[in-house]
Amino acid sequence: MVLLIAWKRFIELSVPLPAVSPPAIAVEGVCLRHKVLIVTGTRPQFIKCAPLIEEILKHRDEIDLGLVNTGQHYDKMMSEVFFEELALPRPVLELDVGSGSHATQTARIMVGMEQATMRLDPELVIVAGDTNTTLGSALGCVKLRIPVAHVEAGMRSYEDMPEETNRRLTDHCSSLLFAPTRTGVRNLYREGIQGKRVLLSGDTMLDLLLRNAPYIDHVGAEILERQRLSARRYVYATVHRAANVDNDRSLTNIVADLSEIADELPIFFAIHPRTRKRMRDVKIRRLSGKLLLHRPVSYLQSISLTKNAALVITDSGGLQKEAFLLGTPCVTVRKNTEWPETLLGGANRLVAPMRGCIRNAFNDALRARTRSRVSTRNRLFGNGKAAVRIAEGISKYLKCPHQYRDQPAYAR
Amino acid sequence: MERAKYLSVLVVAGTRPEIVKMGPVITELERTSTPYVFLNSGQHYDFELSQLFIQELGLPEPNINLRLSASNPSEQIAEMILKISRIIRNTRPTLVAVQGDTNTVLATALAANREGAKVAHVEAGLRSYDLRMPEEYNRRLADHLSDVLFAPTHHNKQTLLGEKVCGRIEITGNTVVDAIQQYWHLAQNESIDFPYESYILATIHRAENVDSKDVLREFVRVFKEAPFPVVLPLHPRTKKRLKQFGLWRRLIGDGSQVQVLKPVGYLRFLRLMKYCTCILTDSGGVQEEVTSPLIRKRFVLMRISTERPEAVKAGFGVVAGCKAAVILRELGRVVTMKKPPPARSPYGDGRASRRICTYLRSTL
Repeated sequence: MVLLIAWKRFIELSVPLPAVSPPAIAVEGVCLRHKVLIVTGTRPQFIKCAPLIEEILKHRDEIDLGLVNTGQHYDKMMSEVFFEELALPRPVLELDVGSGSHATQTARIMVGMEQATMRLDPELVIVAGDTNTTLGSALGCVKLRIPVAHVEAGMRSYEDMPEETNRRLTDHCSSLLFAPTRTGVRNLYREGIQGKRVLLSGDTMLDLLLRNAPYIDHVGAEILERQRLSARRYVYATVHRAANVDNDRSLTNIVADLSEIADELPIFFAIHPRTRKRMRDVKIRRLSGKLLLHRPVSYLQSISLTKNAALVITDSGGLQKEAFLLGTPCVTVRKNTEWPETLLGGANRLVAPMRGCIRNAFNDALRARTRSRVSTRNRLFGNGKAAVRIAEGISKYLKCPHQYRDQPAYAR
Repeated sequence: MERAKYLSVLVVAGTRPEIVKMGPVITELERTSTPYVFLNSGQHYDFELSQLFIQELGLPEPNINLRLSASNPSEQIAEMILKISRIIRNTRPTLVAVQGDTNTVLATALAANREGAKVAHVEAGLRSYDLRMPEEYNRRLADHLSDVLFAPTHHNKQTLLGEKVCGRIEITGNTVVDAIQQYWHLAQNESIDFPYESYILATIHRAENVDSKDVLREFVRVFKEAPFPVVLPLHPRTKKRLKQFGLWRRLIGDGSQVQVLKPVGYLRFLRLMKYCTCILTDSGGVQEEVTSPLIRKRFVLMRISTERPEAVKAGFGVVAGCKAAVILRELGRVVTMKKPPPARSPYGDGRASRRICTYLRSTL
């Protein structure tokens, strides 16, 4: 009886909605397809989106996919290279937001995405990761009431950094969320984002990694030879995060530690444009000759270097994960990580950017020789078919978006 | 107190409801001589109108007035983010205080977050779970960006705890109760001039209602068949939509009991609320205003959800949805109710601004 009353009340309060959105029908040879945009802008986004784009393009008969590039990373080595290497389609729109403070970038991306969506009129916009591009485009779209799908949702490191805000806010304004890990689903659940719109998809980075596994050895041999390094006898390092790089003392500490480590084991240091600029500003000079500074590397080079390294030292989220998946021990220069799975069994170690810390962790990691289990088997990051699942999830969503709505308080 | 000169609170308000509800906080900051900067983001009124409005309420002049050139929401937010982040960079406030759920709130909170300033959100934790409302996103996102959250009620605090927000939560009550107490004597001079003994006050402005022809047609039917004459102060956009959908003639046609007013000032609106029989509304703020002990009226909410269930629970009104038959049925019930509405407001005792101000001062 109570249920009946509640149901009656729900019907009274509901707004008339079409149950099913118009299906994709072919009319006189013209195919009416659902228009979907996918937004990229930074290096990690190209990597996360590449397998997904490929997979969505297989649903060509129902989804009309367009790529929008915000140009948040404008360095050639950080963006153009990926279009060739990962065979990304040409963007339908380039926003060219360029550099600027976080506020400026977010604001510019919002305006750009709003104009883009008004012109292209998509039914769904896909964003990935945790950059200003992600948040800016999500905000620009929800303000026009265009639903947003977030790939790599639910990641939390609970640190005070701009990426954390980007993740949180994007999750809270998305209509469809694809979490790469169980932890992600749990984090979303804890924040009250639950139900049909959250999907455990697995990680698209694993997809790409598996797909490129056959080329790793070839590319790796080439770059190692060029740098006169031998497999398992060098360290692969990257540092770019604001908390580490923009603080003079942290940066000096990190570089000093790396320099010391380099005397023991050569380091291949792929240096982010921002880090290079900051190192010039702080006037860091005394570097070990074995610390090989290199411009940013392409995706294939990066995974090859990771695979062959004795150890990875990084503060990037993606590289931690790739090191874990490729079975290379990792030292992460951060207080926390949004990928707690990588910490299992000591395969990844978190250290603060203080003098001596990285060095100690380096010694420990080498002594322990902990190697993670290759996780296609234990499926912490999915089974390498994340892109397939996401593409299916999206096509299902497009058929009846109304079913995915968060229910009003009275209907709960 | 020497240090206090350089440490201040940046109070941001842009739309009318924000100015109304931030008013008591500003008055309180002024009274306790706490250093603050009052920023008018100029979100949707032209400069003179919002100046007049602030003067009308007897509030101090804003220290900074922004003029926005953009008109559509995203561009407006983007412009506000840019301008406000520059102001934050220059004034270096200890805390940025925002109120409510408008685009100004979202833009300010984002700008403060990007500049590394702390954010205090007044009226945090309201949720309608209706994602057709743009405000729902503003509320959610602002709450997750805030370092201090002033929740009006216990219920709001529970919502925030359930979402695991990062900031600290304080229950304060809603400043609207303070606001009405503060502006009440100003409203006494306002006159209301129409010949009705008893009337129903109606307001509609919400985009998801006004932009839909079906919903608007239902509303017009409600106004025409209501048990008492309807007084309807009309938002310019609603009027435009009514004309566009061909409902305008029907609304004010021959023998119609609907009295359409031009948009009224806040003080006059308080008077209209005081003397009406009951209120038909789709607004958020009105649901709180009616609960003030100085007004004490019942309302019928013409929406499918509410982010303020406390008033409904306390017996001040009902959520009636958007269908004419249901609204009229509920309206009939409300009008014939003998029992007066509760004497106490679920939104606090009128000391919310004092609590907020005490907390703000403790952070300086």
